[in-house]
Amino acid sequence: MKKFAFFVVCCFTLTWMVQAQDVPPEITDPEEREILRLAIKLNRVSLAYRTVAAQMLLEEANFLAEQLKLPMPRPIQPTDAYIWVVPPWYSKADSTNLSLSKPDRIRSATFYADGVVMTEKFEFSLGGPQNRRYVHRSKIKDEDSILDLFPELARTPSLIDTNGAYQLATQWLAAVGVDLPELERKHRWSVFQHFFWGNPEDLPKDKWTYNPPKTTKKTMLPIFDVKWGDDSTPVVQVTVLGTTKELLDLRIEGGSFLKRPPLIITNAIELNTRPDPPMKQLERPVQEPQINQVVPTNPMPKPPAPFRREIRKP
Amino acid sequence: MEPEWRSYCPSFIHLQLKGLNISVHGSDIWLSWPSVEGETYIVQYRPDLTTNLTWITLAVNLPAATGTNLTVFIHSNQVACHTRQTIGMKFSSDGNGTETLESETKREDKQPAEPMVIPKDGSKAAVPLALYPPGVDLSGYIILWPDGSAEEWNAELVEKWQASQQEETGDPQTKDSGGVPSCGFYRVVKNGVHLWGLTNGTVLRGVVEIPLEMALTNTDQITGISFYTEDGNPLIGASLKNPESPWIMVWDTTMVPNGTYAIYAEVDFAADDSVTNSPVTVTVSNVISFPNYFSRIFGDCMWVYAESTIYPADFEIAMYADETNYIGSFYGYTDDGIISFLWDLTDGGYTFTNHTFKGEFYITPASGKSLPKPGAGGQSSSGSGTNFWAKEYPWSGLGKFVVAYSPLDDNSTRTFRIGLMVAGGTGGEYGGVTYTLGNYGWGLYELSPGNGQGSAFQMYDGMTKTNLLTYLRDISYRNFYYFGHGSPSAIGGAPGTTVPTITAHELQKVLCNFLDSAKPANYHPYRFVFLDGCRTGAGKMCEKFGIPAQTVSTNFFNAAGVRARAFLGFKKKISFNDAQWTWRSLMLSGFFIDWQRGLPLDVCVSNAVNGVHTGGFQKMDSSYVIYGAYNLRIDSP
Repeated sequence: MKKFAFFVVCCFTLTWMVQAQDVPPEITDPEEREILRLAIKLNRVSLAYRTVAAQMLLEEANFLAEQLKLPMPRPIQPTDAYIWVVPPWYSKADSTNLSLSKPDRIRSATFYADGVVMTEKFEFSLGGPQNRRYVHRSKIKDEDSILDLFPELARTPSLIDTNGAYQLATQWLAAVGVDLPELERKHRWSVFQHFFWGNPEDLPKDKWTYNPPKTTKKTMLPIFDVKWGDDSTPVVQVTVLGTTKELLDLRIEGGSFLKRPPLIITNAIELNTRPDPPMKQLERPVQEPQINQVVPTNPMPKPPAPFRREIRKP
Repeated sequence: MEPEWRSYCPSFIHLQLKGLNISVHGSDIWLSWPSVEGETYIVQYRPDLTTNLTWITLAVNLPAATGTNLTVFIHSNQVACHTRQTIGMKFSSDGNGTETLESETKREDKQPAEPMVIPKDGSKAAVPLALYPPGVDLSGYIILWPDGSAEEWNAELVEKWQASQQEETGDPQTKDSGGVPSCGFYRVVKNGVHLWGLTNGTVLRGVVEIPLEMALTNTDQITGISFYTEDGNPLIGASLKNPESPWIMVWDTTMVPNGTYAIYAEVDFAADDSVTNSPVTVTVSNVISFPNYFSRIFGDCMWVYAESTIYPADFEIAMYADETNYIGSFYGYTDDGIISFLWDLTDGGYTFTNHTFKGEFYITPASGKSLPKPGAGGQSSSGSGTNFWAKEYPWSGLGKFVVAYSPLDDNSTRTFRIGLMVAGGTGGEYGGVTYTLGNYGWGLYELSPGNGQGSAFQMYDGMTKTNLLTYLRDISYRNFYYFGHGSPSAIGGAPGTTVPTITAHELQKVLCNFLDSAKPANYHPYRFVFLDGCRTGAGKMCEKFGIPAQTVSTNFFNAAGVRARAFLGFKKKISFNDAQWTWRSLMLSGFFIDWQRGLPLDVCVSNAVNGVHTGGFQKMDSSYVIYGAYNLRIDSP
């Protein structure tokens, strides 16, 4: 009886595991089932899709590195970077043709290369339907975090002021394809200089659960955030290190002001449904034992060493 | 169900239910007490206090009388002598922290045996001083001493008296009825949890200890007690004096800005609904406060922050390394009461590497400077206060991710589906949490053991709980995702199963983060914590992971010289429809994809709440709360 019960449980589990590869039976609405089937299909990254997307991401990272003259080996070689590719399900823009059914709008979606290119000093998060461009300096002066430099930075005068930071930021943005007049026509800009106490109006007031400080005294840090758009969710933000005039962070959330072409993958569904080539393991030929090889003849383990005895003096 | 009786207020035993009266009418005992509509009471009786007798519950959830402020309970046919007589009352203790009301045959008019307090203007009746917890400001009251003398209330005087009382009486719970002839014992308590001795309008300062009284009709395991302001936000600086014996709330009122707060306590259970009290409105009034409480943690530099009611003022902050060695002072002037500056941990030449510091703040009104503007609120007297700081050790990189779930009930199919949801399906086809985050799948993280293709770590018994706590304790882990039952003070637990509960206190013992203690410490702060369960964000569970219960920006942490961090939980109960596990798996996957893309946390959450990656199916619950940096990114400093 117990064996039978165990058998039933195993069958149940196996059935579930098989069904999990497809749409579970609880999803009964035909359209919902179809959408979920598409999600499963697109919620993987085939080797073919990965190759194409990674190539596009690397090219764009190299464009940014070159235009921004980033202090890193250029161009970035595929061997010097880890490229993380987002599955197509999360990097698509469904068709806006409302005459199509929801599944058909997904089939007619536009797919974009989307992912992160990581190198030793910089990370580039790129693409997607929003056409974002993030460049983040992950290592400064061999430090993992700029926080480690705060005590030093607090004592080091900045080579630039807020205007200087704005000038640098606009130069960099223009170099990477941002149409500045259009950006500034749509979004107001502001410069925030970091200091030990955040400016309360720089944060949404409802985010604070205690009274904001009233002080006007600041210990300024030579770090500047140049922002376009809403202060808490800017469409573009550039962070500049004032002591060296280097780029710390550049975040373009995408928009019509970015003249760089979106990273569209035209045959994404076809690429992603292409089966990966079979995996093969290197097989070694069976080797005959060499003549001079020591072949154990006695399978018995080596006997333990006898107890060591100490000489005792009478 | 036999009511569970929990209370502890040793020095206030005789004030268990203020204004309780007992009288005999014929053969009936009448109990009456002042009440407020909406309250409910438990009434119990026992003939004597011998150990072989238990309390007889006469009423559970007895509602307060409507239309009047007095509730009467009649216990019929209890008195053999049929005399109409009004009798007095007396409380005693059975030594287990429970209180009793003993009926007496006569009232004795004695000189009060302990100090009483009365408003100077005589607007209220005298009440025992012991009613008020230490730290309560009774300015405007007169103390009537047992010897008949009277003095104006003075904090030092009261402290001395309280200290002498403790020395004299030893354990105050040993008081008993003293052999007075009795007709039995009654006890009447308001249902629920109560902050003892607090009344509307009470003024508090410094560190106050407020006894908790609980009268609970269920026997479910208490997983924790949390404290809130009326708007549902956790009460900063408030905690249990001893979480393993949760009867006293300690509130460091200097951790909140001066002002009026409506506060309440909540008892959380392993399975049952929580119990709360009606909010009590109190006023916090400290000369010096440290409301920016996370700034007590420092990294490569220290953020010294205080608010004073005295301004314009000169200040001195005497700094002590390791709390004892005086190393020098900061001197300054504030014209608005704010003291705020950055210290690079040097005295100009020498860099201090100590792990803890103490600062004694002395503030005096500025001489020769302009007086406070009318209505500005500045005071003219001097003030002092003490603050402590603790070092947080630097850490870098992504950190590893602990991922775990626990069953919601004994339904094996549902549990199986939860596992699939977290794992992202058997082949990672739905992404889920582990396949999206884990470096064996799409992700960038190294995951805790038990998480792999098609599987996720399940906490289902004591052993797996120990394993989970072991992973959390490991300093290489800086991120945590958990799915299962939750409450403001615990995760885990499931009725009818072996699934254990992990309380906030247990997490604190493992991680050693004490953000709201008088002396803070943050030994193992987490970078990102997502507790995917009911009401996990309602309390201060975030503090156990070294994350303050305040929503701030990344700049806030950078100012303190430490890495930014964030906690994501829910303020309300959330639902789980296991038939929709696939969509929920996709929702979680989309959330963690956005996170790894480098989007700010609030954008990741917004996308999940709006169903951006699931075509509108299985959206994240909108009662989410982010504590710590709302704009945290995977690559934030």
